[in-house]
Amino acid sequence: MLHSGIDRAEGMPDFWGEECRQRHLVRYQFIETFQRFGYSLVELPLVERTELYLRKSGEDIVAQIYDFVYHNHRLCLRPDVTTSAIRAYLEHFPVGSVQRFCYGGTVFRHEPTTNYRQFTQMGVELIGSKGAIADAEVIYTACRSLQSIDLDNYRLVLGHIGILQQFLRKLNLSDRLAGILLAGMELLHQPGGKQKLENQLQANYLTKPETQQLAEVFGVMDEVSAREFILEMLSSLRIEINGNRHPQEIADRLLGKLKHRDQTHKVLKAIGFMERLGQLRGEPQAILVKAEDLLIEYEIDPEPLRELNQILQLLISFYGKKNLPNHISLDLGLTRGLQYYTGTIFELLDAEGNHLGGGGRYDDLVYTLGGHTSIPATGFSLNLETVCQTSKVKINSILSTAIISGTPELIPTTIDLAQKLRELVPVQMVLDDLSPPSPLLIVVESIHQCRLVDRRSNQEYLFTVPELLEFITHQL
Amino acid sequence: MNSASLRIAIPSKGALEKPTLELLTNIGLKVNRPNDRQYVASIPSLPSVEVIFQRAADIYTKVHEGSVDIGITGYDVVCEEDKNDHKVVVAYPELGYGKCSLVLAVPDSWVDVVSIEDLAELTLQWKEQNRILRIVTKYQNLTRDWLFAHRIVNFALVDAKGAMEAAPSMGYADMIADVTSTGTTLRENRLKPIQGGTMLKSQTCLIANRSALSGDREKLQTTQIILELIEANLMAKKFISVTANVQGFSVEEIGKKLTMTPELQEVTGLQGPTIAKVYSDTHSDWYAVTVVIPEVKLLPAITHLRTVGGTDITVFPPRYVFRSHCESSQKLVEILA
Repeated sequence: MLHSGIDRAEGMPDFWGEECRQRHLVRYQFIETFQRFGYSLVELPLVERTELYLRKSGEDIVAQIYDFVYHNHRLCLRPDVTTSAIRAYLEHFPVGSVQRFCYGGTVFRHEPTTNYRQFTQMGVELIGSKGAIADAEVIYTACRSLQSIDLDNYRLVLGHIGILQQFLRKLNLSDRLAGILLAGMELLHQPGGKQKLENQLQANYLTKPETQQLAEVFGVMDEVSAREFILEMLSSLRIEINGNRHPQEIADRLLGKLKHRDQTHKVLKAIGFMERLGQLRGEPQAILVKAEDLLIEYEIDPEPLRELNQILQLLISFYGKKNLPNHISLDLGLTRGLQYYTGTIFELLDAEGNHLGGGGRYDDLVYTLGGHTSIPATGFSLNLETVCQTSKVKINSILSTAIISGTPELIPTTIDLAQKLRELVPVQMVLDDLSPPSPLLIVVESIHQCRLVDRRSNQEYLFTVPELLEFITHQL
Repeated sequence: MNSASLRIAIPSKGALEKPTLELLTNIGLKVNRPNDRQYVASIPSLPSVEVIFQRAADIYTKVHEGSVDIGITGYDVVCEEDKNDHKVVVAYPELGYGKCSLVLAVPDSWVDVVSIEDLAELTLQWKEQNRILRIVTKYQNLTRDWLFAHRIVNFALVDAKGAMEAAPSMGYADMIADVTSTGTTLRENRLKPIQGGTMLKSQTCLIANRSALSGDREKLQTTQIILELIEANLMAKKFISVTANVQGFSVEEIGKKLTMTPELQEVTGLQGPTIAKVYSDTHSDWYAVTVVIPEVKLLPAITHLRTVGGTDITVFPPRYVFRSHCESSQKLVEILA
């Protein structure tokens, strides 16, 4: 039968004690750092309309959204903060104005394979600023935030999604195929990844289609005749077109599909390029030289490389020549999984390679979410959970103290003493028979005198109020 | 009613009721239901079992909440309702009836959509136009998870209201996701399943509440009896017993003739032929040869028996084939551990 307890929802963590204090401290330090770079704190809702994320987040994120219908509204728990920040920008600020938002907030992603499905993102969004200086400042803000909690041993990996996007655009692939290839870039980093990607594409894109002959027939017809031919064929086969699709839409898509049918050559070319791009990882200047050769070979505009170089030079200014960390690298196969990125992207990793956070430029998101024009924007978020696991930030232990009144008549005296002590340490009054497990217990025995039980050393002292305050001060 | 130790839910009404009652009858567990309006029944040959009639769609929930201990329902229902908390275990996955597939189907007129990739392209094109693909289904969880796994995200699921197959032509959905066994209903409603769009193959299965069985030895044992009978009965459906009279000098001689080449092993019984002397007043040299073989091997077996001189060949279906141990019962114990 039913068990009496109620389980915690899967992936939703509880925090308490030291861990909770560590999170609070890190959160505070991060927000302080963000604000020092001119970012204003914003608080955005946890629940948004699902449609907001369907527009541009990318399949991987959308598939993890906690999506539900409430009173006929399709709503979700936000899977990231950036999209909400842009929604808020469009709602409250003139489009085109420069805004600097910072935030710390919970996001939810239903990832069946992980223990955490609720995360805390701490980050900034710089909306309306373009150019390498904006990217470099955002990247440096992220790094400075980690340094603010003494996490110096991080690695910064820079990439540029624009290179791959430009190449795929040139191939004129269908949106679906371009999306699969973009997502497949991550696969190529893994052992056997190329084979996996090819298998994924095999059935639909790497075989000669059965309709090849049909494609050839339509290939010699002009579009209008071909469309009329298809509609006539449907009508002669007595296939009725009902529902909410227009016959012309169906005919046009069929024609488009037939034209795009045999994509084997393009797909193989794309995989070949992606494989070589993915190998461009390592020391920035050496990689930039190699990358230039590759881009020339494939006739791709080298502007992304110039941007990366500018950002690297600006980072030297931010850090100061002597302090530039030697753990900055380039990875031109980096994609970050989110479809809204358009330019420079970056990730921050700890010494063991755990993902601490990342971000990048997303110039089209304002337009996609209804801004009528593209607005340059860049930002990052750090994952509080992984940062806290890695961080060695010191938490001063708190000398918590309990106080109890020796007799009911002494309760006013006890309240008064507790107030004085709270200026120094956290104090909880014992309100029932159970004494809390605090290291110090104070028993008020008269208006002038109290007994202090130090549970750490199992010693007891009789103190006047001034003596007690002096003792506690000395302990801190 | 007896003081039942095990409560089993079985489908009431619908396509699964009759074959479920037949299965239980076939394994000697005939259900005694005083009248069709009663929802509680008994199994006289297994008095410790109480039978509860439920809608197939509700049986998973009943087993999950623990108000019944085990249940028989469609695997599609189990996957759809699965709460991923491991409270329900599948004790016997394929009972051999209620077979169907959960498919994505689009109107016949969508000549541009043949495969799942075509559908994916369509959703992306619609996304650009701020349109969303509406799919009507009773299988919201399975459909959503399957489409997500195939990187298709621009869709909205519409609650099934009445006859789902009519939804696309009535305009309140663009396509459907539903179970089909023969495809007739889809065809009649001018819908076609899309290639690569079969999301699940399903048939009836036996499920159990994990804590009910792991915490009660008697319930587990009763379930194991049911599993033993089901497994042996379903195994028997694959075999037939063939008996022939064969003339010869000795058991050894006939045995050797029957098993002389490795290819013949498949048609000479599970472990080999059983050969016994036929009793006769006259001193005849006739032997009875019995083999239990896969049904698909019947004609090769008959031919083989004839080549060694077999005649008067009779064929019977066995009711049970018990192996050295009950596999499903053993697996259940492993799952519960």
